[in-house]
Amino acid sequence: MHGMKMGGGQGHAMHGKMNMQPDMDGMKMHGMNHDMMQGEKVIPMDMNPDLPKVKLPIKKGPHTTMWVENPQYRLEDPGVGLRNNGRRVLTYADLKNYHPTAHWPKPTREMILHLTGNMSRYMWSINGIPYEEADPLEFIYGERLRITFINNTMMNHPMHLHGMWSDLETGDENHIPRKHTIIVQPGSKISMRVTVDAPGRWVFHCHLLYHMGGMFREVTVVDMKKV
Amino acid sequence: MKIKTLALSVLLIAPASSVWAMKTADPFLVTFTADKLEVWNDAETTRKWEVDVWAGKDWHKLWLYSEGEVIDGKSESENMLVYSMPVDPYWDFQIGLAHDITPEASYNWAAVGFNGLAPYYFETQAHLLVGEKGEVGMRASFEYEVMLTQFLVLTPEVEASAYSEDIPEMGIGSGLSSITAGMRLRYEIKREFAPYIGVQWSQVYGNTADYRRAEGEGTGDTNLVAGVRIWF
Repeated sequence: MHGMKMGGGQGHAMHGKMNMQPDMDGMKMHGMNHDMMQGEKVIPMDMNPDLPKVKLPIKKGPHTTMWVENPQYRLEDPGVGLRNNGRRVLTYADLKNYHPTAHWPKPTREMILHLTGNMSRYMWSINGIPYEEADPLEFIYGERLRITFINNTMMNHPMHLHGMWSDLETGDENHIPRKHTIIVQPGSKISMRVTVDAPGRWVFHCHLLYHMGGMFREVTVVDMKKV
Repeated sequence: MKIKTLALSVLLIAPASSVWAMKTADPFLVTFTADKLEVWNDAETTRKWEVDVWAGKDWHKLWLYSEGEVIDGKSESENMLVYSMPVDPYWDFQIGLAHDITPEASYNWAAVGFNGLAPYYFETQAHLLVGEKGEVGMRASFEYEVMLTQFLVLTPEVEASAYSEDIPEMGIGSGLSSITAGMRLRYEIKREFAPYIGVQWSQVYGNTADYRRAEGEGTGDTNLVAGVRIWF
């Protein structure tokens, strides 16, 4: 299968400074020679279960219909409408970086973001708090941050971080794919890692226009040496 | 009347456009729904309306309910204006005023109640009323939508009312006053425009029935109905 390469020069116009080597930011989808059968459970391993968690406020109420009790990783799930259709459907479990990534730094902090909402009232939020009422998320300049999304809604949410790459955890530490946007399937969880290499203020949001108003955060990258 | 409708429409549509601009996650919205605009096959070719309008933001809304009938050119209606706030993912608490109108008289109530979606998707409205002279009333309705196809929708519905005391000038008797049950089949040509046909059964009880008989009217009826459901 022909690979897909995202060159630094063609990157997202809104992305800020990238510290990557030109040959380091490639991403390839290995369809033919991957060694995993479809349907096999893929569970990204958190290499450090003692990873400190960032404390964030959570607000429950009429604006949040449900909170998932036991969210699972579902990287090998093609998603609603593409399951068991007689064809082989590529999933996140099939994504592998063309280049080895074993030497990439391991995360030192974890941030859990609950994607929340009430579909019938059409209210959307993160951790039950819509953008208008939320404080910015603080990323620390130079850190490697693990972000775990838990989707407490019945819709997909493609989460898009500006300014920095979203490195998807697939369980394969040596082929971590690098992405702009990570789709979080209904009722499931997914983890990504961010090398916080772009100081400043960035936006972080669900890419569905109608969810974006509430399911949106400002990210402030704080340089601890300057604070 | 037409100019009024037009002016109202413009007022209603203008603020709705801010949603598309995504200026805010919580824009001020107004929605108009005519759940029923219909004609019955009875001797008087009764015409009936049931209209809801709400205006507001996610956490604070005003709801206006109006439901009534035009029989032989004379109209009777139950109207309610309530402040509405979410208290649960599927339920709004509502408090406000109700105003009943008959050809001969009118009556005011204080209203408090709930509007929401009961388990198994029953759209429910239930309000407790306290009248001018302290009478207590209860009005409730339950509706269910069966999607036969993406366009064809069957809506069974039940409404009931009960009162603590007689209010003769309004033709309201104490105890269980009325029950109506309907079944309407609509075809959504557009989501916003759906003609329907249906059947409506209604029955009044107790003193309410006595008041009806005294006026030479019937106490129960089954009618075929035809109408249109619109919203914007």
